[in-house]
Amino acid sequence: MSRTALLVTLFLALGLAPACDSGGGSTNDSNGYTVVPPNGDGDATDASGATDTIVTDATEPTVDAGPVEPDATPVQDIVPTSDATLADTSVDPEDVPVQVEDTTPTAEPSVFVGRWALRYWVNSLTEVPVLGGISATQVLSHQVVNITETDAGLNLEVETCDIEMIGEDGAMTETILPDAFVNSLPVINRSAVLTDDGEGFYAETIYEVRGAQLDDPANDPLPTDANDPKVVDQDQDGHPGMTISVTGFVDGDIYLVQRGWNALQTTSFDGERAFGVPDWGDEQTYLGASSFILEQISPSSWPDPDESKHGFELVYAPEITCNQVLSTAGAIFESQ
Amino acid sequence: MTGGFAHHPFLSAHLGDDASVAYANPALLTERTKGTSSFGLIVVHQALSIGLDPRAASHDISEAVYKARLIGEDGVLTPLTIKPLATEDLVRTRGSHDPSGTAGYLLLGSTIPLVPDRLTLGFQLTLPLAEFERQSPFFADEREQFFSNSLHFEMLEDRLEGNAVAFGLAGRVLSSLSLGVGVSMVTLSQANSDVFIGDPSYSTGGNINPNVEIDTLFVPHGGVSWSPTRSLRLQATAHLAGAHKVRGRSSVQLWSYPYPEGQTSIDQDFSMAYRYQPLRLGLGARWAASTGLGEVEAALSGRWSQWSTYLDRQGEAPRDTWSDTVELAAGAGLGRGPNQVGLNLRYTPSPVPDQEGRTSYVDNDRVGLGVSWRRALGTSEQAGEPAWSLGLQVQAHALLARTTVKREDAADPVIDEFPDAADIKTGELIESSQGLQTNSPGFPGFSSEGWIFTGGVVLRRAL
Repeated sequence: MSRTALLVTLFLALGLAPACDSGGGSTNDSNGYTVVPPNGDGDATDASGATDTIVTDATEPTVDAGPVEPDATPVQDIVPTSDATLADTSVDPEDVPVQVEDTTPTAEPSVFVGRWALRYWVNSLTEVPVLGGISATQVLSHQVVNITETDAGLNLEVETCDIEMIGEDGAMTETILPDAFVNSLPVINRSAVLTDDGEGFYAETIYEVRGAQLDDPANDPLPTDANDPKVVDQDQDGHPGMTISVTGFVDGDIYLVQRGWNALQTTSFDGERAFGVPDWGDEQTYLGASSFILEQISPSSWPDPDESKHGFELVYAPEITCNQVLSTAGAIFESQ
Repeated sequence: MTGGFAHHPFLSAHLGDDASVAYANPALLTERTKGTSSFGLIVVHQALSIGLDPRAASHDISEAVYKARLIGEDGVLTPLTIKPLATEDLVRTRGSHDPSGTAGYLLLGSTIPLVPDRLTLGFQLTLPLAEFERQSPFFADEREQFFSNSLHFEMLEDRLEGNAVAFGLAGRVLSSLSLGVGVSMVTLSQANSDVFIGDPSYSTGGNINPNVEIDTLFVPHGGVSWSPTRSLRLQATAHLAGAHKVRGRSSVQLWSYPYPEGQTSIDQDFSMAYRYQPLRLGLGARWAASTGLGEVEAALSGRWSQWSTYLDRQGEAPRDTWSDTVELAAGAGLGRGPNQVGLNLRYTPSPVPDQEGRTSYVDNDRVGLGVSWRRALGTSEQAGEPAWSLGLQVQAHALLARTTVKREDAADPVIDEFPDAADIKTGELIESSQGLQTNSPGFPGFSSEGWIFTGGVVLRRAL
């Protein structure tokens, strides 16, 4: 509903962000794309180019990251050696392998190595002044994930294909993330550690800042002034920061800077399909808006406490493209 | 309507001899030595027609407008500055308004000699039988899409449905010269609505406190009557501009709304003007003589009206300034025994220029014909003054057909309500936004014509 709702969720997708070239890819073979079991070796791509990805431990929660309770997304099957747990704040972020230079496969490749289609969804609750009441918004995102093995576990190269904000029926406003927004999201590389049995993983907390360049993405305060030199027109639409559009009862654009974070934990895996839950949160500052009311309304939002409303589904799909993910999502994903 | 009593409805200011001159030309109040009281009923039927030219579907506004952003010259996308509805979402069908209608009026009036042959007071009261006052505002441009989605006759319709009160006082300065002054009543209303809305979805309803104050104002007018000879009389009149005005403010409080500092509500002011009448200056000559046929009188008149100052119902001056006009009227009457007959003609040019651009004020040149008959019923104590008289009157006004075609090169052309725009989501050009899209009811053109018929009966009693 309002910008908050969007924001909130928007950023969920964050860990799985960037833009896929939705305009590229052939659609001739998009229909009828077949999900096949992973073979664990051949289709993995080299993620060595993703060395600038920001991957840090959640040393401190951001001030306005929302009341995401640590136990909202229980982290259970983490490999004990992992230095990235939600509760562990003692890990020096520099201990985390932010640069994946050695992608040499192990003798027995992980079952996750390969190319996957990912559906990711989270729900937030938003209370907007004036509009009143609490409204629910689902942020649904589709990505393509290339998983390779590293010494520490796995590297997930995540390309965001789309992000959709789905409001309640009868909602007075609709939040739209312009394609320029999605397209401006960089490909993200994030590390993950395998569970003991190798049939699950935990992707460590990753922070992403959109619309600004910060020295410390996890801790630096977000800029609040459009003229702050840290603010960048990331979606290159001529407006500061990132632009989110609202239509309906209120119509206009909001220019903002956003920081989001999440961690991913698989909960089941059947050889070709994995389900999991995210632990997430976000915050944003508003640089401006196209109308007074959008400038003034300060909605508050928080993750829906119902854990069943947050999750992700990973489907093995070698050589799948963003276009194929979007055109066959209804068929290849079991989650709705 | 103010000529409703008059035996010569189009020339009341020059041939009038009853209470109608209290408004038309108060100087003529001294023409009758006896007082009178009058009672009348009049019915006005407006048979009006507005034809809207067909509009190509390519000019419709598509639903894509709801998720569109303007494409600036620099390529930057910004929200639409005009928020039209998609054509198919308009509440009313284009041109669904019927401008025709019938209304009845009660007429009351009196002339009272305060000082015989010197000072006379008169008044005239016109009361609609159905509605005391009807004020039906509309917009003359694309904004009307949200309401009637139709065009309206600017000078007719509700403009003919309201009460009118006029007082006049005349003094005979010289035996050949009379002066008169008068006032007509208009209202100045202040309507402030305090509104509290707890939920914009109206799930809890809204609370509305309308505060209405209606004040009375009087617009002056005057006249002079000079008789250089026994058979010739010259008249001049002046009526100052006036209108029934409604000013107001809508103050909306929204639950938990972040008002700007110093504000406690969202306010919107409005100022409406109904039945605006401009400054009017009239001149006329009346000639009378006794002939073998009976008592004959005739008159010619011209009246200049400063329509260039017009304010429409929204209190707005037309974008393309109206023209000042000169209305011409001629009439004659014959009195023979207890019977009098009258014939009036009037040509009223429209002040509205061709509506080739954004606005669509509908108005036509009018030609009017009035025929009247009056019969004396008995005589009063004073010789020559009937104790009672009964008058019948019919009028027919033809609205000369007028056709309007919008032009791209008009000085203030029809605006493109859905300029070239991009889809919010994809950023790609919305094809249906290319070219001119508008919901303006008057686009691409319209025609108008019609008739106005009136019929009335007047009973007058000498006091």
